[in-house]
Amino acid sequence: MAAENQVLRITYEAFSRFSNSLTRCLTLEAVAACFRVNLKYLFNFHTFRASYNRGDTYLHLQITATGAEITEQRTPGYMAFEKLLLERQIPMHWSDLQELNLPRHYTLPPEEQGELWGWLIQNDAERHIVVSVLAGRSRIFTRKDITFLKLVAESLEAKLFELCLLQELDENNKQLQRAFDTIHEKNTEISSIMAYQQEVITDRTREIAAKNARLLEVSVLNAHTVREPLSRILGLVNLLEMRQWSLEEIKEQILPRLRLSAQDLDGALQEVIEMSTADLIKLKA
Amino acid sequence: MKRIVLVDDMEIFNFIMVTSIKNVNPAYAVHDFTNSLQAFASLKEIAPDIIFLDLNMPEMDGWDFLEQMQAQRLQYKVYILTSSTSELDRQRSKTFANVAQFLVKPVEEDLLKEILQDDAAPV
Repeated sequence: MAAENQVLRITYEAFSRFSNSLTRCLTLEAVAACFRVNLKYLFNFHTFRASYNRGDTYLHLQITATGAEITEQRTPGYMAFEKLLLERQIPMHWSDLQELNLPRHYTLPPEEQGELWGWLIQNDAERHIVVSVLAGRSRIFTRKDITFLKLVAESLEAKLFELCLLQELDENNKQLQRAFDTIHEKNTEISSIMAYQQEVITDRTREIAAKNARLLEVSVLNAHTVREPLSRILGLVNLLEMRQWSLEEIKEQILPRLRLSAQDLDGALQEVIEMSTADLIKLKA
Repeated sequence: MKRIVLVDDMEIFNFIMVTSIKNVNPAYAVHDFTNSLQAFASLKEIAPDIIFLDLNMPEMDGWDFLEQMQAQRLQYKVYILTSSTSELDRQRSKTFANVAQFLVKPVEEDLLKEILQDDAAPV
């Protein structure tokens, strides 16, 4: 009994070290390294495997005597027996390994009498991890080891969950940064377009104001040019109504002046039309 | 009888004014000039009761004419007679004390009668 307590105490110390080490892990590779160093002090195994899934990320951690490996992939990649564990959601134990169709590196010599233990460890309704231990006569795994295995599995699940969240956060941040960059880029583009438009508008406004001033000037000038001979014609017509005129008087005094004034009016109008046409052509250009 | 001076480079306007004035009163003495310099030179000799003055003329325009009168302290009463309807010109004409009115050509007969009969005395 004392010896068993001693073993437990040592195991707890080992677990404490493992736990401290795992807490500090910031990458999947660090997690694999932590398991490679610490797991063998907690229980015996030929192969320890853990499969974790979050969203479309599938993680598989595999520890053997020769090393540790963690793979991250977008497809499930579960082994047949892991699919069974996920499906049935109960702990399982196999001593006939032939039927499980295990990969080559799971193969043990017959005298080792390999056996496979498997669990679906549920951390809460949504979060779980599939763990399995391949053991044998030289690496004996017993029910007593299950307590530590579950502690290890729960810690691992928590850590993988954390790393996945960090990765997602990182990805979200990158997307945000990309969105921000795009927005910033577009803003700069819009600003430069607006500045250009403003410039164009200012130019056009100045141009239009100048054209307007010129047109106004022309129209005033035209009005005066046209009105001068017209006022002569009106004055002469007034004279005709003012008193009786003999035909001779009209022929000699009024008509020549009326004709001259009418010709001047015609000349003024032609000049105005010419000038306005020239202005129109200039404005359209 | 009243002495009247007409200053307009356009003979037709003077003809219209002379005819109109004679129609009102044939006894009025009308002196018409198409050359504003000559008109100005004759002012003292004629000593007119009324001057009808065009604005737009060569050599000495209506404004020059008014300024020269001002310079020589000639107080003869002036009616500006122009085909310009410009408000600027109308405003400017008010700066001369001896300008009685700003008339736009052609002057209606009734208005002319009014001017010739009521406004006899010098300014």
